Amino acid sequence: MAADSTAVRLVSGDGFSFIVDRSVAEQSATIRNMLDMTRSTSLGAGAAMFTEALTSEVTFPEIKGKILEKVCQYLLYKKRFSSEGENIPEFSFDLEISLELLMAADYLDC
Amino acid sequence: MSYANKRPGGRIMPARRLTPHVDPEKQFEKISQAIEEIYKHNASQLSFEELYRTAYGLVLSKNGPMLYSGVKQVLESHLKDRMYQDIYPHIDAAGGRPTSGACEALLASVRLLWSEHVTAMLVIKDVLMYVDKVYVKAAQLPTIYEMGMCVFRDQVLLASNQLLSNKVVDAIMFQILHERVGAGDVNRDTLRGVVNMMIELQDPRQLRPMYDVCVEKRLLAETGVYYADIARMRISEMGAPEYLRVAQANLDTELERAKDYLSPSTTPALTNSVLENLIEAYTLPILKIPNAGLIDMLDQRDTESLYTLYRLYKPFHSSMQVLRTCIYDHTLELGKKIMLGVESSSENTVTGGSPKPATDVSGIAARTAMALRWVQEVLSCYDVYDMLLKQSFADDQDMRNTIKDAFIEIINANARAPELLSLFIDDNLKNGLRRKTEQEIDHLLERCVLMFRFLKNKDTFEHYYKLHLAKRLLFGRSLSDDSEQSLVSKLKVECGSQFTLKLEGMFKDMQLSSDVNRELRESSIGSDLGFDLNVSVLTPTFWPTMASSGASSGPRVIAHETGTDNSGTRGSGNRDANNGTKAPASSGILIPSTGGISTAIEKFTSHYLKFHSGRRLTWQYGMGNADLKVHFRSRTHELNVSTYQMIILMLFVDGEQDISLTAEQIHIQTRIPFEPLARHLQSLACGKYKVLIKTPMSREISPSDVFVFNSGFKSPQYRIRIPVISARNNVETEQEKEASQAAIGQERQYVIEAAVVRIMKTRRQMTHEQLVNETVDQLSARFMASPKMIKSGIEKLIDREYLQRSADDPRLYLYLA
Repeated sequence: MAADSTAVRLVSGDGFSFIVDRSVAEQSATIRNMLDMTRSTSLGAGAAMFTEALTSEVTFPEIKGKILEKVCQYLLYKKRFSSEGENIPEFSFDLEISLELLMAADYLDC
Repeated sequence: MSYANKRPGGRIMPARRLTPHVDPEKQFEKISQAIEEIYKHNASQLSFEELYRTAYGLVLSKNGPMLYSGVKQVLESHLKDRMYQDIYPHIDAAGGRPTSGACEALLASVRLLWSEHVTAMLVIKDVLMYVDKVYVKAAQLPTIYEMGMCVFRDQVLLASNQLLSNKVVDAIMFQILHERVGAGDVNRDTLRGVVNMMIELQDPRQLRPMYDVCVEKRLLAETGVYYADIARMRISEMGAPEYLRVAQANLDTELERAKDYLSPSTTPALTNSVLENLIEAYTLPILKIPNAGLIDMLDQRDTESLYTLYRLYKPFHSSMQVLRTCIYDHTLELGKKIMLGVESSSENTVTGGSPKPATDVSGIAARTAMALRWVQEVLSCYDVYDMLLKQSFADDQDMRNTIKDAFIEIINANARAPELLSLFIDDNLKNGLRRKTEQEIDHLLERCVLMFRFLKNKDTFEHYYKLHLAKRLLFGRSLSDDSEQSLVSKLKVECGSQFTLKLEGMFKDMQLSSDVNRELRESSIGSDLGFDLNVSVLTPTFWPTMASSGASSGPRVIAHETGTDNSGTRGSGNRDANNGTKAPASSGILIPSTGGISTAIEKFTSHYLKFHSGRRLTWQYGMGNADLKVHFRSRTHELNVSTYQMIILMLFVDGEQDISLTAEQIHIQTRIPFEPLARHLQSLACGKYKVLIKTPMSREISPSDVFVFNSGFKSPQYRIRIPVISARNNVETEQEKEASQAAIGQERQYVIEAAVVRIMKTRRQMTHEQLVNETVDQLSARFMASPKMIKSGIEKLIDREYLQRSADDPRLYLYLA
């Protein structure tokens, strides 16, 4: 694990917490922006940080735990394979949650 | 996310919202307040997720337009407030007479507002990312960030009829000028920040950065005016080196400024604006500054100033042209000066001399020395310009050509250049190479070849070079065989093997001769002679015809010359003569029977013809020399004399005591033509070493003068060389020059005819102009053929029926096979 990596907590609307590595969470552009600690201003770094960046915790009131779990799996899967050109295994999920998963993907930009 | 249909029978669950719907207006209120908080750096109080989700909700509920324009309004009103709060006070303060401090305050406030705005926009853009991604894309609007930039431009810089924009540009200009005139330091960070702002913002009308439209244009114009003023002042106060140095320093400062806080794209235009006014406008005046212009820099070899000059002039094609013309003119001027200097000093030495300088030994020597000086000085001059070319003009191709053209002009302006160059080489190969390292020799030879390259009449050079080389070889005066060979091979590279064929033949003859002589010495014939005999067997086609030889030989003839060394002693006479030189069978010169010379000649001839039957030997005495042991009353000396002198001295060998002979008698007894005879008598009787005593004791030789052997001759040295006038290579007399010209002219006529035939053979038919041009072109490597000569050549060829005029067109020539 890289030295700068720390764990972040992702919380679902129905109260489930998922603790994942920051680098995994940042596979989502939206989450990356939320956690951005490097935005600097004329007043110095950190002045433009949001609550999420300060607490390393993001709550998603609109996403259910069941979906968020799958999302976390996907983020890990994306991190693991996005740099490989071939031999990428399929990412499988249940058809029932496909619509909600799709909406979460749109929301999280991943 | 990829999707895999694992259970085809499964039911897709509908998406349901977990949070209740809220009024869009209220939703937007959240965003609007958040923006204010972001401006206040209070982002840490906000939840990114919540804001993002709110924007997400608004976009999904088709409230994108409301959100987008709402955000715009929030930004506008925020910036308007800030304008009143932070900027207008500075505009008012900067009104009236501007000061650097007021400008700095204004620029700093604008820069601060700008940087806060940018920071805020970067955050807002992230929060509203979903708006950009979905709504902005579909509606084809500027992204949130771009919109934020435009708002800043319109609300801050362009508000109130571009009030601030103008003030900002004024302030930037004021600060640059402040710095330029050295009135004090300015805050470059502020300027850099403001300039970057102007670069980032687009001009609303021209779709180019506002920097290009507002700042750069003003900057270039003001820079131009500033330097035009400065140049006007400086040109009358400064010498060129200083002017150039200051101009370069100005340019460097401007470029450093541009690099530090202006746009890199400004550099070329800024350079141009500075140099146009400092340099281009004064191209000629700078070069002509009296006592400190181009000429002075050249003469003082001011490589550094010249390099600066070159760099500053380089961007302007026309300036470079002027510079090149000036250098060309000055170089010609120098060439003329060298010529005049050489001529005037040679006149000084000769003035007061007899009206016939041809026989005046010291006059000729002095003129030869002048000739050598001319070559030397032209070459040194070239060295200087070559050095300047490399050190100051960056080996510029055009400049190189200019210098080359100038030297071609200088060298060919001297009609005697080919002769002088050959003399110069001769002198160096005979004397000059001593005390020189191999590198220096090589450089010298390179330079000679270079000068040769510049010669237009290369055939004239060849004529003289052969003459001088012949003397060097026959008298054994060359210091270094390697240098001789290397020079010939350099000429070969320059002009092709055709050109050096004869020169190489001369070397070959010398080589073969030395083999023959060795053979002879090792055989019984050689040892019988009692002295050493050295004969040079020369192929007449390779060698120049010597003026003194009566024998021009037929096609098969080989001319011989001999140098002998002999140390016999004769009891009876006062001296011993031994040696041979070139002895002629046919030219009728009588060899005295004493000393076995004539025997030696016969023996050599028969020996030689034994191995080379079918050849004919013609003996030439004009170029030989001999070592004689001569017994004077006090002691014995070894004299090195020419063959003719040997023959003369041998007339005095036999006598009991004082044989006295008149010049006339000597002429009859030896049959040496009177003119060379007089010369040799002169060097025996009137030179430094008086071996003969002449009565009366005048310098001139007349047929009735009486000569006796000077048995009382005294000299501290054992070995004495009697100088021979003809052995030295000197500048030709007018008479000799005419002869040379005639010989060269004749040769040229043949070459021209050959060229014409060659051309016509391939072209079959040509008009007069075409033929003349083509011929000049083909011969230009050797000499400049005059149309007149070509015309006469063509006429001769018509006479001999190689060509004929076309019956239809009198200007057309046809080739007859």
